[in-house]
Amino acid sequence: MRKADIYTAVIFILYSVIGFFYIIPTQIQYAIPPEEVTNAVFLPTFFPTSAVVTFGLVSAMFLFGALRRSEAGGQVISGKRALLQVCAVFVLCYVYVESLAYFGFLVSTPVFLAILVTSMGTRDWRYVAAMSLLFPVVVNYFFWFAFKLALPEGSLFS
Amino acid sequence: MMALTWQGIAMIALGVFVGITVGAIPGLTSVMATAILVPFSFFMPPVLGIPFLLGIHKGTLFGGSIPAILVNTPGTAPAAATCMDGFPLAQKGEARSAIQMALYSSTIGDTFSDLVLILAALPLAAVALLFGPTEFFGLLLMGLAIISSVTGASLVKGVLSALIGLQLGMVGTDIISGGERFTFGLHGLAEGIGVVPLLIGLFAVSEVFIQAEKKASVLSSPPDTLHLRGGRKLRIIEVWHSARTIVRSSMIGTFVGAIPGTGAAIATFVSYAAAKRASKKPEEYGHGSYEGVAASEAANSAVAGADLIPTLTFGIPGDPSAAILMGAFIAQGLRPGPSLFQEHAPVMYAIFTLLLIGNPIMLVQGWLLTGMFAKIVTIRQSLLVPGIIVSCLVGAYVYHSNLGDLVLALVAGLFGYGFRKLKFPMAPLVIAFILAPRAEEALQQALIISDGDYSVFITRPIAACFIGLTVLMLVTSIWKRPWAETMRPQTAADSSNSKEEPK
Repeated sequence: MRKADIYTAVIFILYSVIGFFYIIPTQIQYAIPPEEVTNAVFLPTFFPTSAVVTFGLVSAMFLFGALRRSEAGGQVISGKRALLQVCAVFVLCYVYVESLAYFGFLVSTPVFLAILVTSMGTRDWRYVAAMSLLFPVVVNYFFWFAFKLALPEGSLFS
Repeated sequence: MMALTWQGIAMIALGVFVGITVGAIPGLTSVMATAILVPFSFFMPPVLGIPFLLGIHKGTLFGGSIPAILVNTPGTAPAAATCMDGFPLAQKGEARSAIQMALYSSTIGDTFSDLVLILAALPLAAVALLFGPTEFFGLLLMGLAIISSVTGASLVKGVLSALIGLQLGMVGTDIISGGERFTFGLHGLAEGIGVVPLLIGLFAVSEVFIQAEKKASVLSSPPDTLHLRGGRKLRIIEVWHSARTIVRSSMIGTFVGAIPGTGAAIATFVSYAAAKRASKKPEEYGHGSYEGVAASEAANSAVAGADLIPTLTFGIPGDPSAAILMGAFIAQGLRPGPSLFQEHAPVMYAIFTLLLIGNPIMLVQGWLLTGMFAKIVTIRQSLLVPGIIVSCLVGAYVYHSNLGDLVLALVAGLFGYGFRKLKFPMAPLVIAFILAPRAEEALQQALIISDGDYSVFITRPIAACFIGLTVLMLVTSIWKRPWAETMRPQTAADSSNSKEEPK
């Protein structure tokens, strides 16, 4: 946990520096000219700057605390296999979300579910088929009949 | 009379049913279920949609006790204390009576806290109506300080979490100047980060990623069903013997639940410890005590109504569930805060009536369907997890029918996963995200009214009181736990002690 805290604190401090010097100056529009700003009205940069500066300071304290701590043995947050599995599921979900725009819900979801159910250890084809075919159809028609809401149809089919 | 339509009763009954079902599935939490199902409530009028969500909130708190008792796996974090006595009872062949004790205690605890909510909400809202923007800024600041310092084991992590929430809350159009902030040229961010996709990502998608860590063999094998069957019915005399414990725990749960940032897990363990101290048979605790089950379950469910007290009266959500419910209220055009009861009194009374009606409904459903809910415990995770991720993404999509929200939910899910693994509390982030625009607006209004005079925060007594309490609270937190585990030299033994999942 100590190492993880140190890395987290360093990332937070780097973010604060980038936020202060790059993101805030470039990503905030001034709808009120700065010369019209009085004591009663803050610039739109005031709160973000205050938050980023405080975030940087607290992150530095966090880093300081983590560096002072001794931790024998070291607590593992997640194993490599577990992290790889999470990354794989994330990538699969992302590809699924992107595919929705082209193939729509009724085509993308069965493929996505079949891959995910199988990769999670279910090999019985009846379960895989029931989950990947029945579930999307039920969800799609539920939304249509209950709420008159169409789930993504996909640009290739609409 | 507006509340007592059959549709209203049907919706709270449906919510309770869904809640118990979700709670009975190990790993699915109340927050997750509410986050996924919030968009459904947008398609209904407030007197139907809000009771549906409140029913889910109620149901999950009881439902979490079912896997805790049957398979020693708490369905929700607050049900962890129920495992300590519930599972030994199941091992003795008394699973059925243990679940029934959990059901009675939950119903009594929930009813008690609902009554306190109804009785306290109106007077508190009347007091809050006297507040101006200066007082509100002080109150919101105090709310943020309480949540950051009370939640989780580390004050620094709580503060960092709240600061991230504040920064996320600043994305979008500046309320006063109208200028865009942190939109990175993306038109979809001009109105800010969507609360529903963010919450679905942080709580539900992140849970899917946590489950995805497990080996395929674990995910695809059904849990041990050895203790599913059996047992006798609970005798009324056994409930009577635990009556004092149930009442005490209901009071503790209600009191703790009303404090922002504490939540059901703390209430449960405080109440369990108090019950053990007061018991004539403390040696039975941890080895299958009905009183132990009653203590944890009554306190656990008593939080359901109590955490709505600060949410509805002051607009300060006490925990992530309350934050999601607050989002649902706002989406329905009911802005939580003192004016809620003035502007929407009939709707609020209708909701309160249904909240109370939900308790006997939970009792009946729990009594009749215990066997069915027990079977839900055996559903394989390998079928459940894919279904949940699709439900999460569909929930994020129906919010604005925008595919960009799905990407946001996924990214928030990955962020939430990392946050949970690093043991950062999630509650301060979510609550700060919701409160940030309101705090900024209140501060700006206060300064415009006072013509830029900063002394209003000291000269106005109520505001000064809130700000003084905020400072005192932060100083006390730092003094009592010198930056908790982070600022003092810590040993390996220390770090292994805090295994509790941050809220």
